[in-house]
Amino acid sequence: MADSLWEDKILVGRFNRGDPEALRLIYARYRVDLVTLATALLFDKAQAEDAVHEVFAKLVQNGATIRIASNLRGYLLRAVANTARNMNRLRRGRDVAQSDTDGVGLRVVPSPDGQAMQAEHCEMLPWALEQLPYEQREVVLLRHYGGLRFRAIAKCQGVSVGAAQARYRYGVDKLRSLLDGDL
Amino acid sequence: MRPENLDKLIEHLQAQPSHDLDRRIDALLNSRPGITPTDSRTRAIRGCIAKLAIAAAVILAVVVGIPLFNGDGSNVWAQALENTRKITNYTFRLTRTEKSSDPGQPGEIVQTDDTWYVSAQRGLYIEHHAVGEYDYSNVFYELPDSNEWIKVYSATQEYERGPRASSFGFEMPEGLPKEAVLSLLGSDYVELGTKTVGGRVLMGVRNSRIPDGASEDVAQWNNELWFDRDTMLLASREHSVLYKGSGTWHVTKQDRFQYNVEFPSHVSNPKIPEGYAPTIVNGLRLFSELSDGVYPPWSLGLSDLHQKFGGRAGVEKAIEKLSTPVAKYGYDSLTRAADFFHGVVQASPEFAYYGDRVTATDANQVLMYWGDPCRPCEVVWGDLHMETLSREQLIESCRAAGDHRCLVDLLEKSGSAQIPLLAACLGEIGDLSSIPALLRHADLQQDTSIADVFRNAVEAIRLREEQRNPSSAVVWGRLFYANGRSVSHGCVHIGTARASADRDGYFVMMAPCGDPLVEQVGYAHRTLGANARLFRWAQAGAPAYLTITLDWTCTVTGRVVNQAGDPLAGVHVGLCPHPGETAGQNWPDGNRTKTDAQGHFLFEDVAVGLPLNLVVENPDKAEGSFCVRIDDLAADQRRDLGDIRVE
Repeated sequence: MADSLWEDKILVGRFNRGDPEALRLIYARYRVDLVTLATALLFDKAQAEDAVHEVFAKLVQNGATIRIASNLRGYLLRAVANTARNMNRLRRGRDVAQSDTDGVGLRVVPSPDGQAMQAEHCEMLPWALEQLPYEQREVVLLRHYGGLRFRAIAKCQGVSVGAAQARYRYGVDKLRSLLDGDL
Repeated sequence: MRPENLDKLIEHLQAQPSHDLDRRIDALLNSRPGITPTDSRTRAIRGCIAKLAIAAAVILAVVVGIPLFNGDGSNVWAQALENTRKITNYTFRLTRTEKSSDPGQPGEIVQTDDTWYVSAQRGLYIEHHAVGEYDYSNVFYELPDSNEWIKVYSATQEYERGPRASSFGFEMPEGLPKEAVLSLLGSDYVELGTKTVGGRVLMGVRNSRIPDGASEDVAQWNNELWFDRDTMLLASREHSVLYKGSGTWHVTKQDRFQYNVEFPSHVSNPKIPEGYAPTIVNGLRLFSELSDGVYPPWSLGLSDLHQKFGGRAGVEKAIEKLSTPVAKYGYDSLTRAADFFHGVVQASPEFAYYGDRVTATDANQVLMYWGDPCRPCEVVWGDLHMETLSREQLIESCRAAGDHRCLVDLLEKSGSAQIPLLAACLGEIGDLSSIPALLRHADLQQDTSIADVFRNAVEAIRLREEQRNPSSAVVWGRLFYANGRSVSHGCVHIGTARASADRDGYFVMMAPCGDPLVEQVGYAHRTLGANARLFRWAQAGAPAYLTITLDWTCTVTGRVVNQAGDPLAGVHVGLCPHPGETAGQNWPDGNRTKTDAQGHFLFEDVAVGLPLNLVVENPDKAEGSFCVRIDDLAADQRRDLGDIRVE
């Protein structure tokens, strides 16, 4: 944790000072995290990568006016979530139900401690996430994958902290029932 | 499922970015206009608060900073930044200590005392001397040339080597000193004045602000840097963290800095002494000896052993009871191996582990391998001997051992150079499970001659399987949605045979074939969802490659009434593509229901593709079922059949 914070601090400092290499290093460092979040939100690999690309395009275009003040990973994940939310709004009403959960390349990588890594759960998690309403999925992912606080998530979604917590609770309950069910 | 398990599952989600995205971002960054330092300065002075802050800083600098200015008027900290940027290589000593704030506890516990060599060109070399309960003393090499790191433990005669994950030494969580100086002097800090140590005058700065996003467990954070006033280079650094409720300061101290010095030759020339064993091998061996010859099925972790032996103490006792040579490595060997395993999983572009099917007796089966496209693979075999092999050597070994699962993995991960060889090998030893991967790669190939190699391999497997099962035919194909996207993990049924499609919709199955002219009903559907298709298949005349397009299912409703128009309750109603069969008997499973008290029935998720028969079973007439043909069901339709009047 501490090492990544330190590296982040350096990168943020470099970005804020206008170092041209900082964005490249930031992308190299967080590309997997950002694509994972976008993919888990949109369940469309191409759109997910478009979302990440759009975030970096904005950072490039508006680099002189953007000043990253908070933690770098949280900032980037929030930016991707905002972009993905916009994309999701735009595609509503179109053909969205015919997504294919596993085709987007989202998977659970094994951890060395072996806890919570039952193969069936690993396999079913992407599918179970896809079953959640978008807003609930976003809260669950930003909380657990992004490690953001509810206050930050609520601000990101434009709702009250209570609403974000309620979405989280509903989302997690549904995820548990999907993963513990006999599906 | 426990909440913490769900957390861990979500934390370990991963989707790999495509090379296309990398290229797009690369192009974006290459084409961007430079953000000049002027921009950031302009930005910084925007707004009243910033202007006030600058005014205050100027006043402070005049009042407090004058004594720190040299005679020529240059700012000493700007000089320190400048001097630090020029450093190319340096060495220092690192000491980790724990200091308790509780007078009843030991004041200071020294954990390590290391010597570090850092060079932008030659990498990192650490002589790591652990002092404490567990002896992890080792030498560590991080080598930019070969893009790998090597760690050698002299105490246990073990070594590790793996892909270099980061340019920062993961051995030092607080960051390397040069980066720390650049970061701290580039942000906010408090000056500490001067002090004299060993005849040298040092000037200090400190930053005690807990970084944004730091763990909530951190109560206090302190980063203190002291510079030699003559050289304005870092002379010592102390980084301390106090965690909430612990009462213990974790202190990392760096001192004895030497800059731009000539390094000893061994620093960038790693030597693994003869007879040393890889930690991963020792860990796996110890695990299997504690688990009756079985390796951990999915990943090397300690939770299974803890569960089996009742925690760490139980595992340590079990190791003590072992009389095998590997027992001498002890519990630490397991933890080192688990750490290594995890590191390799995270950092290796190519990684595979087959603990679920390979045991200690499978000497010629691959247990795990890792590497990246630029280097040979490190391979651990079932009997735990380890080799460094090129891709071609690994493929040949798998072919000789009949290990088609490993070949399929290699096919998915290897570069284009090995693809024809892999296809040929799979044609030789592959089984039905290899066919989806071969089909996918055949479709991906631009070069038709290479695509033919894949199709020939599929054909070879088909011939072999059909000879083995003469009463069945191998059927393969791909599932799509109506919008042209492939269906992940859908299902296909033909007669009594069933197959699951892979992530790209490719499937293969052994369909029963009696009379090759008799058509059988096929049913394909998304695993969970409202998309399906009915189709007919006969061995004679069917295309070798089935392309099945799923469409939205529909809903069929109606009401069963008698001749007098009175609703019939509790009557069995079914939908089936064969007029003669009992409702819902063969296809699709469960498409049979009963009318309610008002005689209404409802079928949801009804597949389209073939005409259907609504069969109303008359309980009073054993042989007589009333049948209504539905020819024109359309996708996503809600079809009300109205009143079905039965005799």
